[in-house]
Amino acid sequence: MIKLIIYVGLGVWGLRSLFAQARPGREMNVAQSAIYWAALRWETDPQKLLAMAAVFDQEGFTPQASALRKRSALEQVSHEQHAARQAALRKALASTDPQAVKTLAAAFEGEGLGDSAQLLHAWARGLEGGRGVHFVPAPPVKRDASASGENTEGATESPPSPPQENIDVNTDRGAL
Amino acid sequence: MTPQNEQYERAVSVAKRARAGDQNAMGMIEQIRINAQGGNQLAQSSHGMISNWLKENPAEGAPVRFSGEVASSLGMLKDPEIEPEVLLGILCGLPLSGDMKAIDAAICLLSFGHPVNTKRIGVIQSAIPTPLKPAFDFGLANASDARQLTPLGSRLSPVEIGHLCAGHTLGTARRIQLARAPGQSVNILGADIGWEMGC
Repeated sequence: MIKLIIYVGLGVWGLRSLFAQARPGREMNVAQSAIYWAALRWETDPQKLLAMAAVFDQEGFTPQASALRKRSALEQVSHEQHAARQAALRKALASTDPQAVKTLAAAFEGEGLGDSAQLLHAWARGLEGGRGVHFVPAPPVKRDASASGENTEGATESPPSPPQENIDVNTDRGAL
Repeated sequence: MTPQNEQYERAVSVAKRARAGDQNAMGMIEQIRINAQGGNQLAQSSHGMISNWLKENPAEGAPVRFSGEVASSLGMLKDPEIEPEVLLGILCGLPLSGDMKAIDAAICLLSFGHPVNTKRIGVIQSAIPTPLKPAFDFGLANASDARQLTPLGSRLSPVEIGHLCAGHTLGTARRIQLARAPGQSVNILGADIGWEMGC
């Protein structure tokens, strides 16, 4: 317990030093952002989260402080609310609408669900990237027929690709 | 605030103004570029910060464009008949493209394709040379776990990083496919996400 208090104290002191010249309304710098996201994704100790939230709040980063506070209380969230969030996450991972996914990611961040939010941000980036990608037939692999024991000329060629189905991320499968 | 942080904030500020159409900011970026080309170290680092910020923060609605080779490789992931060796080669090459969005796009394309099941992964694993199997298997087992994967970047060779990334890409696509299935716990996406979702 004493160790925990010391670690939290040192952490708060370190954060205060980091924020010494921060001003309300300004964007977080790289180091502040890294600390915030590490806490929002991986920290599960409510005491540490509340201590960090207090520092972020004091320095004017109110939305971030709020997210950290909500994360500190995640264990008290009702079963129904967890189930609704799980359903929303599932739906987002089947969605092909990057804007809708980004909106949910932002909502998750605000609720203190940092790792889920990061997954959705990556998913949205993937959807945006996949939109500009067009089908290209993959080349067949040349295999040594004698090594595989197969005997036929032309066995090195793959059969022609069937028409592409069900894998076009441009297809709208329904927004969130 | 450290000088680096201050420089970064100024660089981001100029980039944002230029993005918003401020011609003075555009002129400043052009001057920074000229100075950077002239060998000015401060200008070089500022130019790098501006370029990185603009790349990492694309304008809303701006289409993502990959280079010809990356776009072609990603396009092959849409081929349902793609052979395991070709698939592996593409996934191993993605980190070398320098565009991390290509990995996100690959995960997305694979997750909408054929099931990335144990059988399919087993076939791909059989095409990997023995010395590179540990990197692939680690990426597969720790797919999308940044805390496990990121520190390895500085310790592995480019070829190993390629196989680590291939494992991560296939593993993440597989987890996403599984998470979509009704009745499946979202815990499959990772322990941290499972904790956040009350699993």
